[in-house]
Amino acid sequence: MQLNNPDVVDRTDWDKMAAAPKFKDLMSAKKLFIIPAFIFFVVYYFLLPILVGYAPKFMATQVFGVVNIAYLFALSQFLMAWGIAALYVRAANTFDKLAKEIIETSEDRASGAVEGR
Amino acid sequence: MSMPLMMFLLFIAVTLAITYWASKRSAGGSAYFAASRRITGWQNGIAVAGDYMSAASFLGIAGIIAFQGYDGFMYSVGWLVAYLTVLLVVAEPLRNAGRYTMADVLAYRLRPRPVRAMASMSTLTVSTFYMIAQMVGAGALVALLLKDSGISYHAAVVGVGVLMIVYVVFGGMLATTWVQIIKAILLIAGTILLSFLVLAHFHFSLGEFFYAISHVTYHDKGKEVVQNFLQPGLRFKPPYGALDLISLGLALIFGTAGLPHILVRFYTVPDAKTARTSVVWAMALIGSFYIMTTFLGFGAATIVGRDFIATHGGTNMSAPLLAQSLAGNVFFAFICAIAFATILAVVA
Repeated sequence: MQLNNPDVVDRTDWDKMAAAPKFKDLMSAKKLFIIPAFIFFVVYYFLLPILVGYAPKFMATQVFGVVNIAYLFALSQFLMAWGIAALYVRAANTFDKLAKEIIETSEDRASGAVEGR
Repeated sequence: MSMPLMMFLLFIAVTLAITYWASKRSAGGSAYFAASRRITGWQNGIAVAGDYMSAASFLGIAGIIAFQGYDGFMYSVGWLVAYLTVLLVVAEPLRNAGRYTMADVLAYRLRPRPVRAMASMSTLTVSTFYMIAQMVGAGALVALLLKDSGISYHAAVVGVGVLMIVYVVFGGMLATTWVQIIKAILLIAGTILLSFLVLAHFHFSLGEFFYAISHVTYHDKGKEVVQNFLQPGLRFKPPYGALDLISLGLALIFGTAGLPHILVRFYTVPDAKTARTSVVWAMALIGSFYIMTTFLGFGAATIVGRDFIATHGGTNMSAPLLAQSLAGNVFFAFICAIAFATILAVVA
């Protein structure tokens, strides 16, 4: 496997970085956004087929003129998807900043080690 | 020479020119498999959208909505929401791994041999079925539209297959990316134009449009039926309709993130941030497109009507027939050419 991956870095470098507190912060910040967002959209999305499938009469209730709950709820899925995407992009920008800091500090340390030799 | 045939040939000429240009530029593995990882965010986003909006979307969805109303729109919804899985979970880690295929990424962490075997089996299975559907569609479309040109169904299927191979083998990812971009722009332009014409037909009144949707007239087994097409239940009926819907939802939400021809696009960008930007672009285009299927599908149901579509090529011809009845034969040819371009490009 190592042969297939010419750019594999020394294992210990990975381990050092993975153990760094800043890296752990980044990972938990990501999880804190991604897991709830994922659960929310899956639940919100599946409400639609479940309601359409099991409560078609309720979904056929007309709200504006002939436009019914089923169609409005379907439309709201588009807004929900775009909304979560927008929120994620905002959150991801802070992840990028954290990641950049981690890379910079580890590079500083690496070059420092070389000079020290 | 007929109008649609001329437009088909024009599209083929342009895409072959792109392939030639790309083949001159690509050298080495990264250039061939990942377009040198130099595709920008918006370019890749449009290409992802192009890859995704297949003939099934343009012809199929319009047809399902035209025939079964609201239940067909359920496909449209799932097709966009599925991209949240791609955005939140798949796109960035995939790009960060810096490989060429999904198998490379998985083999990075797991035992390579069994993982590669599984990944290639899954890729081949998905691609084969996907391709069969597209090629059958291409054959049917060409046979139907070019009846008088003497091109048979079999010749059309073989021709489309040969073209796909030429794009991929000679042009690599750079050529297919640009073919997708052109196709996506054509498709979105055609859809906007069609939607606009549908709205114009209803005097730009959404109220009038939706009223027509709630009173669609057609013949079923010789009897005239007036049906509210906004109402669920025309396709997914008891006893298993609800389960069908949930199963469809599962397939869309979790299946999309595994489509090989979508995943492969995330290796063509320089970094994870660009991968993210491209998903956002793709979501904007895909969402707008699927919202507009409201106009394509319901427009075909109300303006053309089920009876006419059923006797003039069947469900899959709903969008082209809508174009014909709204703006005549030239527009019909244009929409057919877009459908053809869609089929030709999507597997590449």
